[in-house]
Amino acid sequence: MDDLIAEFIAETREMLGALERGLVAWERDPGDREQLDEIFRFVHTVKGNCGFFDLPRLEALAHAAEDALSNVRAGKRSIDSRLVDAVLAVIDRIGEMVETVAAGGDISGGEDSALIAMLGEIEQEIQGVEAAPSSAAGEQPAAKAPRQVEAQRSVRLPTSLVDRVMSGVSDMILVRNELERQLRHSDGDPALIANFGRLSSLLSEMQAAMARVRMQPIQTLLSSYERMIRDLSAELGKQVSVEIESGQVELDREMVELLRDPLLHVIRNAIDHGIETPDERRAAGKRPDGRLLLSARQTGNEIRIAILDDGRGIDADRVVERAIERGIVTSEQAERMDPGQRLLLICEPGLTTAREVTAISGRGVGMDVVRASIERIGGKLHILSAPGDGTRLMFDVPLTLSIVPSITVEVGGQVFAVPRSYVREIVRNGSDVEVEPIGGVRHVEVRGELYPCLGLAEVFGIEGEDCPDLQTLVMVTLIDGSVFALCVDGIADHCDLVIRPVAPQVIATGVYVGVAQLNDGRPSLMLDVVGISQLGGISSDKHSRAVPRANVQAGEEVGRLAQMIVFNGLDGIRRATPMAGVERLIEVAVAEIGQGGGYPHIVFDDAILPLRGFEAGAHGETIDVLVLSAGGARLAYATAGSIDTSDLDLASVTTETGCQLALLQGQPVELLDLAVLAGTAAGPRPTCRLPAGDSWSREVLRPLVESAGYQVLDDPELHVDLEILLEGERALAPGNAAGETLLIGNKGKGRKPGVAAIDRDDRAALMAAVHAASGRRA
Amino acid sequence: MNHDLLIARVAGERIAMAAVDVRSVIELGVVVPVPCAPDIIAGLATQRSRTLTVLDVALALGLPRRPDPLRFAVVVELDGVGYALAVDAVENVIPAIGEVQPVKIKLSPGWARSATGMIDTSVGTVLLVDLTKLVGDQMQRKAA
Repeated sequence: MDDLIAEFIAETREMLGALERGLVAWERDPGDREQLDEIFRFVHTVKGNCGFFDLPRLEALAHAAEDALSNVRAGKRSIDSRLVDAVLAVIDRIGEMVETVAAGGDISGGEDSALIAMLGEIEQEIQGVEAAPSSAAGEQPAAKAPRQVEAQRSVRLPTSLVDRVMSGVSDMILVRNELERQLRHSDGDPALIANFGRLSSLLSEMQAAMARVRMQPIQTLLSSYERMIRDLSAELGKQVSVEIESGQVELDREMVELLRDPLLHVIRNAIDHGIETPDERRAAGKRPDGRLLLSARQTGNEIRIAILDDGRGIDADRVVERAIERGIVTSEQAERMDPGQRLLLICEPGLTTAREVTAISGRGVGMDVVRASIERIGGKLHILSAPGDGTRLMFDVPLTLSIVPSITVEVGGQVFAVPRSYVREIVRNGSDVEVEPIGGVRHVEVRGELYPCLGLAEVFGIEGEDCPDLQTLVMVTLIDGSVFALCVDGIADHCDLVIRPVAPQVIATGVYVGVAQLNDGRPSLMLDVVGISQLGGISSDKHSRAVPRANVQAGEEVGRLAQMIVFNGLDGIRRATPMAGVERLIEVAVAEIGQGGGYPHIVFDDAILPLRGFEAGAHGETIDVLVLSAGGARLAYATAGSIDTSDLDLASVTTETGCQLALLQGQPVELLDLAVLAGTAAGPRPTCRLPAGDSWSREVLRPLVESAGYQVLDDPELHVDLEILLEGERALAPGNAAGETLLIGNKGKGRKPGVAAIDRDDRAALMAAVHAASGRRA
Repeated sequence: MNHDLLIARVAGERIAMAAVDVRSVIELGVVVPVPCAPDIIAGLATQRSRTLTVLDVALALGLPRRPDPLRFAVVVELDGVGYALAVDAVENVIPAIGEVQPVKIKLSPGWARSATGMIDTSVGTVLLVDLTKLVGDQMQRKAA
C-alpha cells in the first residue's frame, strides 16, 4: 500500500507540475479546450486514485471539480471567472493535501465544504451569491505538516532524461565498436589495449544496468485499469470479475507508456461491447458476471499481453459484411482471408460493428489507432474470437525498443540482422541437410521434418550465392510456432545490436523493423521475419486453420480454439497445456532439482514449486521446465523439449480414455490437468473418506490425500469419490458407496491372500494409487 | 524574409533550400541499398553513429536517375529520422535577397510539388524547395 501511495503522490505531483503552465494558460484563456481537457484529466485521475486510498477529502474535492468541468465540457455551462478561480483553488488545495500526505501528515481533519460549495453553486447557477475564492482558499488545509526530508527509496526521472542517457550509452557502444575495429588493425600498445578492454567491459555493464533502469513490472500497468474496469462496469450495469496474471514480467518503461492507451481502449471495448449484461448472460447460459483476464507472459524477447473476455465475441462474418459494405475489401478478397485476417478488419478505419455508439466506446479512437500504436512499437496484434464465446486480443510486443540480441546474415555482400529470438538453429546446406524442391516449393528436411525454404536473395531480387552447397539456412520460428528456413549466403556475426528507428518509407516495405550499425560502422537493416515470410509467399498450414463457426445446433457446445503450449514429457508422451496458464519457460539443471519431502521440486523466483512430470527422471544435465499457474497456485512441469505453440480445437478434446486427450494436427496429445496437478481442482473438489478413528489415517493419510486434491469428508452418510478402507474394515452400505475404493493392508498382519491391498508403509505406492484415482476422475 | 539559403544543384539546375533546415552537408561514403524499398530511397548511410536514409532528390522530383553514383547529400531531420538528400553538388550558402516570390513560370510536375517559390540571390533567381515537403510528400505517397 505504501508503494501505491508513493506512486500516487509521485504521479499527482508529476501531473501538477505538467499542469502548471496549462493552468496559467487556461486562466488567461478559459476557452482553451486543450487545457480544459488537461485539467479535467487531472481531477479525474486524482478522483479515481483517491478511491483506492481512503482519502475522502481529496476524492470529494476532485469529484466536485470534475462535475463542474464535465458540465463545461458538455457545453452545459459557460466558463466564467468564478469557475476558473474555484477550479484553481481546488487544484491548489489538492496539491497541498498531497504534500501533506507525502510528508506522512493526516488530512482527514480539514474542511473543504466552502470550496466545494463554490463549485457546486456555480454549477447550479445561483446568481447573486458571491463566494470570493479568497475566503474559500482561506480554509485551513488540515494541519499542514512541515515538509520532511523523505527517506529516498526511489527517484522518479523524466523518461526523456533516461532516454538521453540510454542513447548516450548506445552511442558510446557504437564508438567503442569503431575503436575496437581500429585497434585491431593497428599494432596497438598492450597497455592501451588493456585499458580499452576495461573501458569496454565497463560500458557493457553500464549498458546492462541501463536496460534494467528502463524496466518496470507490467503488473503496475495492468493493475492501473482495475479501477476503471470497476467504474465502467458499474456505469454500464454489468458485472465483471477481473483477473490479472502477469507474474514477474517486466517491460521497458517506454513500452509501458506506449501500451497504456491501446490497452485502455481494448479493455473498454471488452466491457462495453464484449461482456453482456447479467440478464443477457444468464439467458445465454453463462455466469452472470463476465470474466475479464488481463495477462502478460514473456517468451524470449517478446511479451504477449492478452485481454480475454467471455462476452459475446466478434462475429467475423458481420465484420466482413460491413467491410465489404464500406468498400474496405472486395468480396473476393474477403473470400481469401483467413479468420484471423477477417477479425483484424475491425482495425480498419471507419469500421465498427457496434450496434450503437455508446459514450464509452464506439467512437473516437478506434481499433485502427490501437493497431497502429502497436505496430509502431514493433508489435503485432492478433484476435481470436467466436460469436458467443468471447474474444481474445493479443498484443505481441518486443521487450525493449532498443537493444536486440541478433544474428547478422550475409546476402550478396549485404548484411542484414535477424533477432536471435526468432532463430531456432542454423544449419549448413549440403553438409547437414539437403534442400529439394517439393511441389515447386523448395523445402528442407531437418531431422525428419519438412520446412519451406525461402531464399533471401530471391525475395530481395539481389544476386546471392548460387552454389546451394555454400548456402546457410537460418531456421526461423515465427510467433505462431511455424518454422521456415531462411536461405542466406552465410552468417556474419552474433551480436547485440542497438536498433534505431528507420525512415517510414523503409518500414512501409513491411520487411524491416529498424536499422543498426555494425561494428565496422556500416548500417544493417533488421529484418521483419514475419514480413519476409509473407513476401516470400510462405503460408503455413497453421495459419489457415479454420475458426469453428457457430453453425452447430443450439445447445451444442460451440467449438473453441485455445492457444496451447505443446511439449514432450520426459516419459515421451506429447502433452499440451493452455498458453494462458504458462508463466515462464525456464531451464533447470537436473542437479538443482530437490527431492526432499517426497516430491521433486525446484526453486524459482524465491519460491519452492513442486515439479510434476518428473517421475521418469531426466537423462541430460538440464531440462526445460514450464512454470505454470493454476487457480493461484504455481507449479513446475518437466519437459523433454520440443516445445511449440499451437491452437487447439477444444471440440476435439475427449475424456473417454480416462484422461483428457485432444487431436493436434492429427496426433493425440494429452492435456495437463492443472487443477489436479496443483491440487486445487476448480469447482467441487473430489471427496474422500478415510478410515475413522485411526491416528495413522489422521496424521499420515489425510495430508496425503488432501495434497492430491481431495476434500476429506467424515460424514459416513455422504457419497464420496474415493473411499479408503483399512483391510478388515467393512465398506458402508451400497447406497453410500464410493466411486472407488482403496484398500490398505497391514504388513504381515493377517493379510488375506488374493486381496490387492496396499501396504500402509509403502508410501510411494499409496501416493501413486491416490493420484491415479484422482487422475481417473479427471 | 531575409535568411540564408543553401544552393545546391540537381539535374543541372540550381535549387535553394532554407539553410536553417539543413543539419549538415556530407560527402556520401558507402550507401547500403535497401531491397524492396521504393526507388527514391537510394539506401542507408551513416554519419558518426547516426544512420541516415538517403533519398535521391532527382528521382523525388520526377527526374531521370543520374548515371554516376551519388556523392553529396544535404542532411535534414524530420520526425526524429535523419535523411540525407542526395544532390549533384552543393555550391554555397548565401543570403536571400528580398522576399520569396510565387512561382509564376510553368514547372514540370515533380518540381511543382516541391517548389514553394522563387527567390532572388546573388547567383540569380533560384527555385526554393521545401525540404520537409520533399521528404514528407514521399512519405505520404508511400502511405497512401
